[in-house]
Amino acid sequence: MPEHGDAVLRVGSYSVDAAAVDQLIARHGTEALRLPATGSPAVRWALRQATLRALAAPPRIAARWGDIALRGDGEGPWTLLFKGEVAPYARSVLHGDIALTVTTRAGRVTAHAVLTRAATPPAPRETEVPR
Amino acid sequence: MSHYDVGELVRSIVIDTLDIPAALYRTDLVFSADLGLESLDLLDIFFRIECSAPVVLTVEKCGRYLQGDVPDAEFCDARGIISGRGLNRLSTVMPQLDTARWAGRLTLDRMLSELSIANLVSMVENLLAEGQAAAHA
Repeated sequence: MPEHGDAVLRVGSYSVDAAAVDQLIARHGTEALRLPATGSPAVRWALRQATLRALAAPPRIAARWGDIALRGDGEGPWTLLFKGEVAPYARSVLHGDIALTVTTRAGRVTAHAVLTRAATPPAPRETEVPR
Repeated sequence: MSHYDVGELVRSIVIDTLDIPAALYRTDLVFSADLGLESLDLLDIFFRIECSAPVVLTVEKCGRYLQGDVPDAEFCDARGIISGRGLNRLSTVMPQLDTARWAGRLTLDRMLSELSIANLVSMVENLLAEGQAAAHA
């Protein structure tokens, strides 16, 4: 473990067609994705899915993206807040930080969540993870 | 015994959602490789099934169905590679999975890609029966 910088533990990536997200919401309502009404639903959906992939969440946890709150505007930076059943799981696997990035190209939103292990000993575990 | 023909219900919804020719439909089709399905399409299919049958088909239920009683910490490792115990569980609900071939190689990301239409039909039948048993309890 190097003393400088953070060690990348895992990268979770997720890509989605923004129009497909809009169509799903149009067809099944705003509750379909269990996302807050603010901001781009495709961005918020992609960020949550990328985060769950970075956490290597098993199916039971991966299905609970509604337990992830995301603070921040469409451009970021974002802060993740783990709640419900995702919170204890995240505490058990997260020993550092999660860095989030989003790119949008040709209507396709791609989110990356980079799970790092801090070079310094982690602070007492908390569920809120500022990036 | 359900009076719903789950196989026919799933067939009509999959054909409509994915806009594929009816003649190409087979229950052994794998969602991702054969049908180009994305996770959002699967959600769409779930919602449509929920609207058409008395089954609560949430993604949470799908997750629990796939994972069974395998604890979260034992289903996969930190890299997302599904454990032997997780693979054994999956082989009960996705019997087409070749556990010898996938041992130590099947990732969480790949798992859903390997889901077949037959697996979805079984899952809906299972959840439907579960709901009916609960209603009669």
